[in-house]
Parts: sequence; C-alpha cells; structure tokens
Amino acid sequence: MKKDIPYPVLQQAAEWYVTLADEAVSEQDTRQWQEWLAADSHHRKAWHYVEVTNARFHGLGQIAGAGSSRQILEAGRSIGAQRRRLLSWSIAGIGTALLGRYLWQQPSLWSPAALVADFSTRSGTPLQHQLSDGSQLWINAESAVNLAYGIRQRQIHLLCGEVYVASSQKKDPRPLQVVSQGIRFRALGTRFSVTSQPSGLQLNVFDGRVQVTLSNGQTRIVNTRRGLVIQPSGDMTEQPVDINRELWRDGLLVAENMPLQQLLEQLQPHVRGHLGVSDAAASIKVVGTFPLQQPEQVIRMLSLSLPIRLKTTLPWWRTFELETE
Amino acid sequence: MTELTRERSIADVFADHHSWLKRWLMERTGCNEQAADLAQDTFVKVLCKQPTFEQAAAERKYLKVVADRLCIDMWRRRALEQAWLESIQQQPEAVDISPETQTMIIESFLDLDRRLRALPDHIANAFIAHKFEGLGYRAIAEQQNVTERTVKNWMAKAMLACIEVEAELDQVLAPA
Repeated sequence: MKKDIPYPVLQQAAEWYVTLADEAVSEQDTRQWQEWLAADSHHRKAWHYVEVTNARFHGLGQIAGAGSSRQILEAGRSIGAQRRRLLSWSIAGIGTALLGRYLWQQPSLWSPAALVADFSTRSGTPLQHQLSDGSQLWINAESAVNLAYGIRQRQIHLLCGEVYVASSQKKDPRPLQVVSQGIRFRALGTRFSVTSQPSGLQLNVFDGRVQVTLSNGQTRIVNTRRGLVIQPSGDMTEQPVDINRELWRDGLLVAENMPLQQLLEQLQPHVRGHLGVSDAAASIKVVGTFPLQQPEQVIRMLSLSLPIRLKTTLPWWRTFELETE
Repeated sequence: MTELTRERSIADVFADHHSWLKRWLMERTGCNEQAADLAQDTFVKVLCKQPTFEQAAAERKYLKVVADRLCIDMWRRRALEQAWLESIQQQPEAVDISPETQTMIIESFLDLDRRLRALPDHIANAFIAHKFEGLGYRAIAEQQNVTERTVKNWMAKAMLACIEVEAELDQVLAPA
C-alpha cells in the first residue's frame, strides 16, 4: 500500500529528533513526543525513518570508527561542484594506485587477475571440474583459478581462495603443480588442498605426498596427513591435518572442538557480507556437522546451541558475541 | 499507441545523442572506457524514467543532467573509497574484511553522502560530526560561532533531508 507521508509530518519528526538528541532533553519533552507518536500512524512511520537514519550512521560509525567515518564522508563532500574536474584527475590516480596496492596485498576475487580467471566462484558456490588428464579439481567458494596445461607441465594457478586436487592415477610425464603466491606445490600421487589467504598459504595433504618449492628455490616434502602453513615472510610451520577439512567438497563443515573463530573463517566464503566474532567468543569450542550450502541455517544453529548471540550492526555486518557481553 | 510512440522516442534519443553524449563524457572524464560506461548508464536511467520530450535540445539538456549526476557519483565514490582505504591502512592491526564487504561499506557511505548532498557544507559537516562523534549542539555552536538555536535548525534540516530520502525509498519499494 502506497501512502505518502505529508511533508509537515516529516518536518515534525526531524524537529522531534533535534529535541530528543539534545543533552538538555526534559521529561516533559519525552512525554509530548510519546503523545505525538501515539496520535497518528503517519507520525510513527516518519519516526521510523528517523530511526533508520540513526541506525545507518551508528552502524557505519561502529564498523569504520567514529573519527574515520567522519573523515570519509567529509572526503566525499570535498568533491565540490567547482573543483570536481580538477580533482578527479588526481584522485583517479591515487585511488587506483591505492586500491591496486591493497588488492595486490590481499589476493582477492576483485583483483583484476581474478576477474578474468578461468574459474572464479562467488560466495556459497563451490565448483567441481574434471581436468583433461583425468585429475579432479574442486574450487571452494570465493576462489579464482587459472589453468595452464602445456606440453611440459600441468599447472593450476590459485589466485585466491582454496582448491582441492585429486590427481589422476594415469601416468603422465608432466608434473602436476598448484602455484600460488610464487610457491609451487607438486603432487607426488596425491589428494591435497591449497588455501591462499592474505595471512599466507596453507597446504593440507590428505593422501600421498606434496613437494613444496619456495620462490627462492628451497624445497620441502610434506607427507600424508600433514599440513604446512607458510607465512608471507616465508616462515613455515608443519602441523597435523584436520581430516574434516576435506569435507567442504561435499558441502559439509565438520567441527570437532573447533574454535568458533576458525569455524566462522571457513563459513565466511559462503556468507554474504561480514561475519565476525568478538574476542571473548572467538575461542568457544564447537562440535557438529554443518551444511555449508545453507550458511544462514548454520548461523541460526550456532546461535541456538552456543551461549552466544548475533549482533547485527548493519544487515551485512554481523558479529557473534557472548550472551553475557 | 502511446506505448509505441514512447518506445520510438527512446530509440530516437539514443540514435540522435549517443555519440554526442559519449564525446561530452569523454571530455569530462578523460577516459574513453569510462565515458562509454557512463553513457550506457545514462541511457539506462533515462529508459527507466521514460520522459517525453518535444525538442531535441531539451533531450540533450536532460541527458546532460543525468550524466553529470553519474559523473559526480563516480568521483564521490572514489573519494570515499580512497578515504576508507587510508583509514584502514592507518590501523595498526591488519583488517580482515572481504573486498565484497568493503564494497558494501563504501556503498553505505555513498548512501549517506547522497542524503546529505543537497545541504550546504557547514550544515552537513556539523551533522556528520554530531552523528558520528556525538558532538553536542553547544560545542558545534561554539566551534561555528553561531547560536545554539541556529545549530538546532541545521540539525533539523539535515535530518529532514535524510528522512525524505528514506520516505522516497519506501515509496519506491512499497507494492503499488
């Protein structure tokens, strides 16, 4: 049903906002405002718009920080009518340079390379692909991959996200490699996955062995059921593999005493918008099997089964925190 | 019959003015690709509104207004984006926010920017400081060297500008 709210009512709502946001608001003011609200449904609708506006400012202030939010909005306003033409040149340059640098640091789906990749998946949609040599490739959500199958080699370039490779049993003289962030992972008859994140690379070997070659030529063999975390600095840590980490291919996330933060990191590619967790709730241990294809259901399941609640700062910015926080 | 005339008129507008608009945008943005994109967006906007014109000159004037708005939007978006990137680079800890979410954040700033766009700078900036940093009326009055009554007028104007947009959006989204 369309119904126009009379302009004077919007004006009244704005006036009421000014009165109530004053530090010197009196009880009498509040009472009169409540009477005004109760008097007419148009009044309530108009006040709802005030609340929506407040939520917009408040939400962004929380996400970006009050001072930064102010600076950001003021930066937009500085693009005034008279100087916009002149400024546009310099800003176009700086903006692109900054964004370029940022995206380069953070391997991402929005980087120019990922946008034109052979395969790229968005949130919530893993992809399975059979390669020409019979090997199987699974590409997790929010990932981008280029294939370079040549005469001498079979390379899978992981630009961002996660791939899982089950190499073909057929004999092939060409080595099969996943390449990411300048590091090569060579399959030695195997099932393994590589995850590329801003925080570095992670290799998980589920079967067989994988030879890792760093950009400086240093090599290392990782055995079955072992994993390797490689920091951007080149530091490496070996650790046992979480076998359940294989199951995203089937659309399942299995947690056995998994810290909530880690679980949310694995869920994030499947969720629209940001899903965070407070420091206090981050280490809560989670047990369960969750359907990755229905991330909203997983979020509900978590809220119901753990002593946490979901705080929605803006519809696309949600944070789990302890019920007691 | 009316439908047919209308469709023809859009096609005519496109045929008559597309290259002219692209040239104009090219001069304004200095980039061929951007000009092509913006020209495209302009016609999409016009197509959605389906205005009727009597003279070709009026059509060009209208197209210019629409295209100009799109240009300003683009430049403002860039300025906001740059300011946002600077703000996260200043933070000591690495921010782990997906690029998709970052785009949403920038869009949300742009939404607020659009609501306050028609206001004079002193009003908009005072409102921004009040909303984000909780600056009180008296503090603003002292800073700006005006009376508290004036500041209250500013705040009412700014809030009105915001809720007018909310009301309009609601109208567009509401089932007819």
